[in-house]
Amino acid sequence: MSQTQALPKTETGHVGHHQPGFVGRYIFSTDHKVIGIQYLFSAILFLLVGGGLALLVRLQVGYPDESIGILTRFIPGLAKHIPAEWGGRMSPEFYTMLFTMHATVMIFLVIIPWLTGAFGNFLIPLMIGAKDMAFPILNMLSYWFMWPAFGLLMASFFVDGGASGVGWTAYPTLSSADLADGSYASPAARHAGLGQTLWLLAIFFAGVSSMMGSVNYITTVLHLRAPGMSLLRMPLTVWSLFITAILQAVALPALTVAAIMQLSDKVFGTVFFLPPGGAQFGAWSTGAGGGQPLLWQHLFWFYSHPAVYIMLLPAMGMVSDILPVFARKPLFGYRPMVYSMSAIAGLGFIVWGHHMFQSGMDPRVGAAFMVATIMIALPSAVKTFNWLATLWGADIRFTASMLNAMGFVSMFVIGGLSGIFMAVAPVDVNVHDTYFIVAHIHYVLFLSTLFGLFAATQFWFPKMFGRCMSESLGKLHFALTFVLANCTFYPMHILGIGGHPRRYFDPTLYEYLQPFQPLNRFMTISAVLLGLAQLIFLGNFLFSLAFGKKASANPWDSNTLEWQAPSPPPHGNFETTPVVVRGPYEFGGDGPADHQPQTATA
Amino acid sequence: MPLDPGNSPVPKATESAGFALDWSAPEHALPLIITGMAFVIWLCAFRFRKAWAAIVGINTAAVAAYTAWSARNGHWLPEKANDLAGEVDGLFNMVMVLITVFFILTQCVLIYAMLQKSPEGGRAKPVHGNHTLELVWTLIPGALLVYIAIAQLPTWAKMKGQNAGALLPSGYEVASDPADLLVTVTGKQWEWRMRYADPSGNKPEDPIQWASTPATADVHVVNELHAWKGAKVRLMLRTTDVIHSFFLPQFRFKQDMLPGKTIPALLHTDKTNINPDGTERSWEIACAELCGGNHYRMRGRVVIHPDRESFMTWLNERKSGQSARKEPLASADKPPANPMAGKQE
Repeated sequence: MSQTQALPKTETGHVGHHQPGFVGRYIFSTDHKVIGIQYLFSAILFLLVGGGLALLVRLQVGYPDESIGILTRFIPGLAKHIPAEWGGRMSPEFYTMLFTMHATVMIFLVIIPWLTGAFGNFLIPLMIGAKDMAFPILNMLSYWFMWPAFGLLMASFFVDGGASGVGWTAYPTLSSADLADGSYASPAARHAGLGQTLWLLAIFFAGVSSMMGSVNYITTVLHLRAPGMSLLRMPLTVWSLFITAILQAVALPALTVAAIMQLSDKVFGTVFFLPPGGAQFGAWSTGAGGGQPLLWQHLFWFYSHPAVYIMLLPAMGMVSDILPVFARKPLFGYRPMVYSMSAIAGLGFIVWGHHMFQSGMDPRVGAAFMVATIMIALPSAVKTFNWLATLWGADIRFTASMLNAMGFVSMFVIGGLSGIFMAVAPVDVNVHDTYFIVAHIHYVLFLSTLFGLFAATQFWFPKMFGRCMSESLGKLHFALTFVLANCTFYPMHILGIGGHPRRYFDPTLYEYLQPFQPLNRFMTISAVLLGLAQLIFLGNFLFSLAFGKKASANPWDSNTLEWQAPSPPPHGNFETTPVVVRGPYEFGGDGPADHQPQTATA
Repeated sequence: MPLDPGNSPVPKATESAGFALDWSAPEHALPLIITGMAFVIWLCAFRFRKAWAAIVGINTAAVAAYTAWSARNGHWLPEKANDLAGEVDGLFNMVMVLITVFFILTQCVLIYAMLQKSPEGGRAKPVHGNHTLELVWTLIPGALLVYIAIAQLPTWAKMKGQNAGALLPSGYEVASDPADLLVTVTGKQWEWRMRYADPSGNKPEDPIQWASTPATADVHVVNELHAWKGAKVRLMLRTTDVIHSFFLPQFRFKQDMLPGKTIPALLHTDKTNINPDGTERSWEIACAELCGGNHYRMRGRVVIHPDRESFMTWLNERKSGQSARKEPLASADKPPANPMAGKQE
């Protein structure tokens, strides 16, 4: 492999691409690569914020009796949440804000922007041989609509009443507010004041941002493919991002509409989600009502269940592209992979009800959702078997990127299998809203998606910045993260089986939970170490930007189109429009080279 | 604000000076040891690149061993309070066995793939797929999943109030009510209010009607659910403010309470938690749906009396105590003002 093949960093010779000034090039850029990198930096920044919030949550659950008053010395603004009368402990309300914001930041500002924003933007045009996205200005707007979301969320910690503390699911009536005419007095005014209003606005902005991205991706994939790039020659990364964009375009409006309805309930006094009167001691029996709290749950999960696949499919796609490169072997079962991703997306629309088995929804509807939910395990299983078959009989190159990709496969098995318990409704009755669910979502979102993201970042870093990340540091980060993430999240399954409810400020109040407290402490210590291990990734990332080894155009001997462009690709991407003659996974065999790029005619 | 001032958050009694960790405790030392192990594997991999298989291997073995240890040492499903819980746990165990097979199988294939020798000539065979294999690993898991989907339906129907043998549940109708005891449970930030029909009056004819019209003659209790062994208990679940979820771990019972609705649910009581010597095994009530800052404090207690007589004795005692106080709707016994009071040190 030719590590040193130096390509001239040319800024000229791209006729028709006028070079904008600094602001136009790096800030309000319409170049898909710059926007992708902007998303990448933002997502890593938000990852630190979201991770910090998670550590505070873990500290409280593991050590409900210890003082964290020392934090107010570093962040004086926290003093009102760690009030003196609680003796250096955080208030229970602050605890609810922490886990609400942790989930919101991680889902809407880390995972989705990192997957679809950073890699979707950077990779789609490069991998299909296009000069840029179909709608560059829309693309720029989609990035800048994310910042109001982040600003609103962070500002909400400092408004009167603090940030939203009603969980990222924001179920009414906990999330409802007092009505101005006094006809409805919120039972949760302390949790759902201005903070919840800002949260809803943030969701609105994040939703509009993703929406603009998804229509752009769909159009780009359908219209801007290079000659010869038929749909079934597209790399799975593009397939996964394409399917994800369709999911987003169809499901996201439901959440955006629901957010507007709840906002309207709070600000204008409508009653979409407030029930009619009749509660025994209730405050709303005096006139407000006519709505349904259950309606919110349906609208919310109609988006938020497909959102789970939005947060997983692109990672699956990227891992499917990374495994063959380092296995030096074609991807096993390209078509079954495409079909199973489509099946996951399709079934993903009709399984939202499994979040609501205990919600008071009719049990007959529950039975239907239960069968659909169980069947969604099948395409996931097919994907796993195909990944394993790709590795079987391969000449594996143990790079940091490959290790993270194999970590993804290993951990996705746990995350997928634990989901079967929840699909079996009678078993779900016991584990619903316990730590079992927390374990499951973190095995899918942390140990699967995040490993996929680490693999992808390490893999495409040379293409983005023209330098390689350190392999040794990358491997150390993988070793520590793999082991410590299992220490942090695996015992949560056991807590959940024992019936440990989630979102508890102090579990030691319960006799049946006291035997689990050492386990809670174990997980907290592991989580802190896990958080520290991420600093290795951050350091490696920042250090390599400036001092990493110079990368050639194709440092991994890969086949897909982005590696035919220089590293980093100039404005306009390709010198000449590439012509695709074969699929993306031609590795191994007895030919003159062990890989055949998609444009190679020989 | 409809908050009960008696329930406002109360700090714990003792003040904590700071963060003190006992590093000799296994739960504190173990993460450090494990971190060290990962570090050693990283170092070894510089010399032997296949050391990376060890990290997946050790992880798989540790996960399996730890799960087995937990199951044998009581870090597992809570005690079973009824036969239905046994049925639910049977489903749980069936899924557990199936996924353990798939977990071990897939991890072993992954580890083997990491350990195998490089292919001859340094080039792997360019295999793009295999139609037969795809069929095999689609149809076998598919058949197992269809089996799981069907096998659990009767249990779900039974949990939701159908008679044994029914494949599908009914809706939330309670017209032909087979229950021996009617209790209205009302969630309220942050306590459970139970209401039992007046023991000296007639059995209520329409449970829904009865649940929404409290009478002073009814027996009102806070945070305690009483019934007797063998009773079929009909719970009428309501809430006055936000969504709560009535969670009885030993009964494998969990049901949300929806504002504006009354949700009927059946509770089977096949066991008592009163030991022969008169002591009580602790069965607790917890809230499983976030309901505000004090969500964690909605703790209650379940008492399943050994027979109907002792239950009626308790009910009549409560009724007479209540009329002496002449404030039937107020909570008879509030949760402890100091959360430490309910805590075992």
